[in-house]
Amino acid sequence: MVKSASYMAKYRIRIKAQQKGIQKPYQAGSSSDTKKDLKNMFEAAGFDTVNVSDDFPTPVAGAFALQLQNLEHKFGGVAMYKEYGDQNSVRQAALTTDDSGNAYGYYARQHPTGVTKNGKGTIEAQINLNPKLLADIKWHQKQLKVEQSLGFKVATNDNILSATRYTVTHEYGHLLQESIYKKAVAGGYSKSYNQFTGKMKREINAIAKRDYGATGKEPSSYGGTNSREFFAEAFTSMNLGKPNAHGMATRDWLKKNGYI
Amino acid sequence: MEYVGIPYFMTNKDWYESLDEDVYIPEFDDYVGIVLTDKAPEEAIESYREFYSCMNES
Repeated sequence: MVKSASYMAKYRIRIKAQQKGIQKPYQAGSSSDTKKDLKNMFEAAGFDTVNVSDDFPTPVAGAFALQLQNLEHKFGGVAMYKEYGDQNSVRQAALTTDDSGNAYGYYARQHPTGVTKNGKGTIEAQINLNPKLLADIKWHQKQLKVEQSLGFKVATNDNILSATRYTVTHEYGHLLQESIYKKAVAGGYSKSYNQFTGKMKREINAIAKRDYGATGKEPSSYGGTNSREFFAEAFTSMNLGKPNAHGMATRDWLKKNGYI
Repeated sequence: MEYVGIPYFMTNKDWYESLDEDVYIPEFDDYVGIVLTDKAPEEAIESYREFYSCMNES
């Protein structure tokens, strides 16, 4: 790239200032440092493996990382997974950014390695964010607004930051629900994950109806597709500025059960 | 998973019903919270299959 004369003049002044020791080297904006900073930000939220696509503008990836830090500080879902998750395995958390087709993102438990020398395999609680659908925040906000206006996704306040945080909050909701289940199992709960998520759905629905006048059975029509999506959508509603009856009921359920 | 767009089978409320409790569907090896009604056309049935197959993959 050819730099303009004025750019080069400013650059020479900066270099001279650095040589005289009156200004620190200008490194924060370099791509390798930015990537390192972003990695550190995700690691601060508890993620051991971090792979952030270059397709994400730094402010967008930074917004994801800050939201994960914020959620982890409030709910401790990643830490809970590491403590109570799959007991016969080494437990880690991963943040990845692969193209996941027609999904903004997903949550999964992955087995990145085989069995290790001590006989334990590693299982990662993984949140994946799709750069093809999330990197352009204006496009994403517009698309999300259509889905929200039709009741398919929960409403948020009109802040563009809330739209940017939607997917990462939804996927963290999945991670948190599974961590809560793992903790319950460690405490003696013996039924299946589906029975547990169904129980949570019934209890949150009861609070939403009784205390907040909910008329529908789910926080959004997407939240009706199964009891896991029910919780992820209600959790998103709770956290993005405009909680509906199910969002408020989810907050109450988490409080009542000692997760807030 | 957070799905992008609205699946075709959910574009008409006469075509599907939301359940109080998830039911297990062997075809998807997963529990689902929505079933189709008799009014759902072939395209909606196809969309339903695609949607839940995709949900189970992630």
